[in-house]
Amino acid sequence: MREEIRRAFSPLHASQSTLEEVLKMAETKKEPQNITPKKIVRTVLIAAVLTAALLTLTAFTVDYVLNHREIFFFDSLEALTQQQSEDHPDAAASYAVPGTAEESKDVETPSEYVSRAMEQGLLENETLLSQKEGDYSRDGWERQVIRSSEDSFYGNVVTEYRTAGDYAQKMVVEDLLDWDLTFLAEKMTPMDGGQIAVLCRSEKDGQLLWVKTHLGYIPREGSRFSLSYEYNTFFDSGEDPEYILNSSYDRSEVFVTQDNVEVLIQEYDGQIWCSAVNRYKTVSIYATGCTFEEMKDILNQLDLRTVLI
Amino acid sequence: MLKKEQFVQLAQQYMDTIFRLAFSYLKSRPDADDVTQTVLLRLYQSDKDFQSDCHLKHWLIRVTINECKKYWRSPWRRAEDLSDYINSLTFEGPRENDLLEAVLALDTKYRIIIYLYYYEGYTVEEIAELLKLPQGTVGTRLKRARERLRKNLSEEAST
Repeated sequence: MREEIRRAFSPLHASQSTLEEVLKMAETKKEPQNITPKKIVRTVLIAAVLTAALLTLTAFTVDYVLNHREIFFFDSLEALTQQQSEDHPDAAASYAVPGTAEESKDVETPSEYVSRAMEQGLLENETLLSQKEGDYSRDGWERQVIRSSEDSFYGNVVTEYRTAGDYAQKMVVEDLLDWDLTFLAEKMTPMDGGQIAVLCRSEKDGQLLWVKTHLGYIPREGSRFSLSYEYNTFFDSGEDPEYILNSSYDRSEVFVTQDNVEVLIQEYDGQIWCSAVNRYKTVSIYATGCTFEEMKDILNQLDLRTVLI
Repeated sequence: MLKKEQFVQLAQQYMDTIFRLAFSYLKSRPDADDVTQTVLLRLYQSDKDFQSDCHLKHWLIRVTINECKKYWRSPWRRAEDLSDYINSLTFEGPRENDLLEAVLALDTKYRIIIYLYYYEGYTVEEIAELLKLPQGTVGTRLKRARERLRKNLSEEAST
């Protein structure tokens, strides 16, 4: 069996251009470009980091629908790739293909994500200079680890990692976010050790560079609910459109919440994905054991407009 | 950070290992290529002091598995017709083609163990450490993977 399996796998080789691509990326400090919508948006702003004026951008009226992303649905792969080729002639065609519920059981759980983040940090190109335990205790958040690092992309940064005790009651980031999360804990069981908030600031001037929160819950026995919020001053997540092949999902829909936020909801094999984007801020959800209508009800209660403005 | 010449040599030595593992996980050539690039870039930029080739390979496998798991987190993956890709490969004989398809038809948790055990030659204990699983779980999954492979291959032969 061993020899047979070796012979079966032997014809598999990495693409010939792999090494060349990696050396190019190392020179320009880029990541692989030709893939997911989230990863495609790795264009570094040449202009300065967002000013406080942009952070406090507010709408003139709440009547307009909040969304900063185009979403296209296609019934055929041909139509999708044709549109993509016209929009991005230099990029490889790509579209979403979800995994099955069975395959998704191997996905890192929120508590595994939290363990990994607290142990190794989340910066991918980091040289850790120092680490210490902090003392943060408010709104349900308890443990805090502060890492001082040199990152090849962000420069010298101080990254603060907070984990929740029983559960996160509120997510507060000065000038950015004041998000009441208690209704989720009332609706579902917070995942033990599965809630984290990470804030990354420039060491030079304390400027907030990015924020990530990841909150795990258990709606009912055997099901999962993960809520993520991301804010990154370098990447405008709304820049690139979403191209969706209808047949890849059981159901896809653009839902507008009661507070006028556009959310992409997709369902496949008992799993639901949601995403709402407004320029540098994204809210995304992954859930199992939840119906489309239950998800819409949750989205209506999440106060997304306040979070994404 | 490695010197360029050092990195090129290591990349050429290990890139197929990374690719095959990522492909076993993701069943997509473009995704496996992307993960391979990500892992190699991390190697190039790493300041880790590897004590041996074995230590380095162990690290590469762990990083590859973590990158593949991150890939699975969202549905935003590219698709390519798997059978088109497999049909484009050159095997020594038709049995190898059937065997690769049979392995890829297994659940992810079985595919990875089959690859690490039979292709990379890791022991159950080493696989348990790599995947952060109990040894008993690895042993059971290996046994079940073999049973399912035999079943898949005998069903294939009878059609």
